[in-house]
Amino acid sequence: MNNDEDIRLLNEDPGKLLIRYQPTIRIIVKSLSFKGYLPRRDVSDLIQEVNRKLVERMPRIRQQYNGRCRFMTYFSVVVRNLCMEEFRKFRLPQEPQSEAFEGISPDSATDPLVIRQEYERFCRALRLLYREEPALWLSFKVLADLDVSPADIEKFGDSCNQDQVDALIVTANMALHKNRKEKFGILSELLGILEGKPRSPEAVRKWFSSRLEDVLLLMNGNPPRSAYTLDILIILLEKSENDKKSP
Amino acid sequence: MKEEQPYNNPAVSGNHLDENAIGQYAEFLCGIVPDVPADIRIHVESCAECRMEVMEAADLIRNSEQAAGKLPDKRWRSAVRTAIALVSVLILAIIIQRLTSPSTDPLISPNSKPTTPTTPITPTTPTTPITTTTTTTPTASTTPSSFTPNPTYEALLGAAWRGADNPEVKGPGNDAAFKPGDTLMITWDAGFKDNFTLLVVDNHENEVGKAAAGAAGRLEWAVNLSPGLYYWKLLGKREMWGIGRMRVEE
Repeated sequence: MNNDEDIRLLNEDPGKLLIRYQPTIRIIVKSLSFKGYLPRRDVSDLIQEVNRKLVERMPRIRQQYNGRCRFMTYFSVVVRNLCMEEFRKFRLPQEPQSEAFEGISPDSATDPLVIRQEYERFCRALRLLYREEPALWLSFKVLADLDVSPADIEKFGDSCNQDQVDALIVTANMALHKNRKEKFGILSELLGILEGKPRSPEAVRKWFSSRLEDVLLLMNGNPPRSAYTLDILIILLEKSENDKKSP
Repeated sequence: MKEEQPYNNPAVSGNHLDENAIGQYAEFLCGIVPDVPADIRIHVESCAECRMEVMEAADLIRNSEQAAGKLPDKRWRSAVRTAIALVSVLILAIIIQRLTSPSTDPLISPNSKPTTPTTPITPTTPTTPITTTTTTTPTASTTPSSFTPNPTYEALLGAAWRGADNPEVKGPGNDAAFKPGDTLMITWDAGFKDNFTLLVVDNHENEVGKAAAGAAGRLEWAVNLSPGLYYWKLLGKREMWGIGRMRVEE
């Protein structure tokens, strides 16, 4: 959608804007429904309710939108929040419906597109942890027995020269096919150098465990609609990295 | 680790990010904008609730883009896959048809032997008092098309009743060859009650013969057909209990 046109309609003709956004509203409500937030038969009722609330709140939306993101993004967040308000109002968060897990979709979980999309979600989840992203990437790669690249080291900043980067990569690759305890030992060594702050293998394990919970929460959603675990994330990482290598 | 930035963005109102900041961060995660203010990032780093909101907003952007056709649509890809599968089946069917064409068809090869029939084919003798042969109108000619398998019936061959209520129909094997004058014999569990009728059709689904069972558990029918590929069906009042294929040679 054209952002300028959206903003013009927001100011001049909010009714037309709402009509223009009907497909977006439907997509959001349906996607939340498919994620197990509400039974599918309630979708049309919820769309109607969301529209009613949007009409009421349009002046506030106009007032609060500050133009720092596209209107479509802002509006999508508003619609999602309205849906969540409805879910909370009428019922406690439900158990996700069975089809959310049982996969009525014809697309298999091994579909390359699904894997790519989930891998992108994983990247976004790590990015949300901002300053810990480089250490998390390194940890996941070491735990997944994937080759650590110079780019993984450079994410920590450019304090290392080429020889140091090479030496760190050699150290990282020593973790290949070791058990988890030994891997955390090597990670402790690597992170100690890269972050300039020594941490024991046990401290690294505890830190990783705690961050892993955050990542799993982001990947699985709340209420959960996926069942990611560390092992599944490692498989996802392996598959995605291998797909990148293959032509 | 990166240095912590001052925490002064008005988008971080109260305890949590507002919709603008959530949208801004989500767009950054989706690569729509190159950066996002550090104070928003720091807040998200430490606030699980806002982190979840941003993650969900980024998922929404991706879903909307996909639905708008900016990303490959899974449904579209499914349709393409289905089309490819159908074309493959079609090609396979053509190949099978060519392989089973008269020149190479083992069904009509003079040297080919019929596979072991489950019920012996009895020679034509006048010992068939229980058979009531009715319409026998040979229609198939000896053209190659007379031997082309009928896809509908071919799909049914080998189908088995799995329920306990089953007459256990037995006929000659599906590669059985007959000559005019031979007898087709079908047997079934004599204790099973139904109004059994034998129907013989050619490969173009034209009825060429019909016989009603006169006695329990057995039905014989004199084959008086021109060369070609035929199918027999043993019908009950409501069910088709058995189907088989046979060919008639010169």
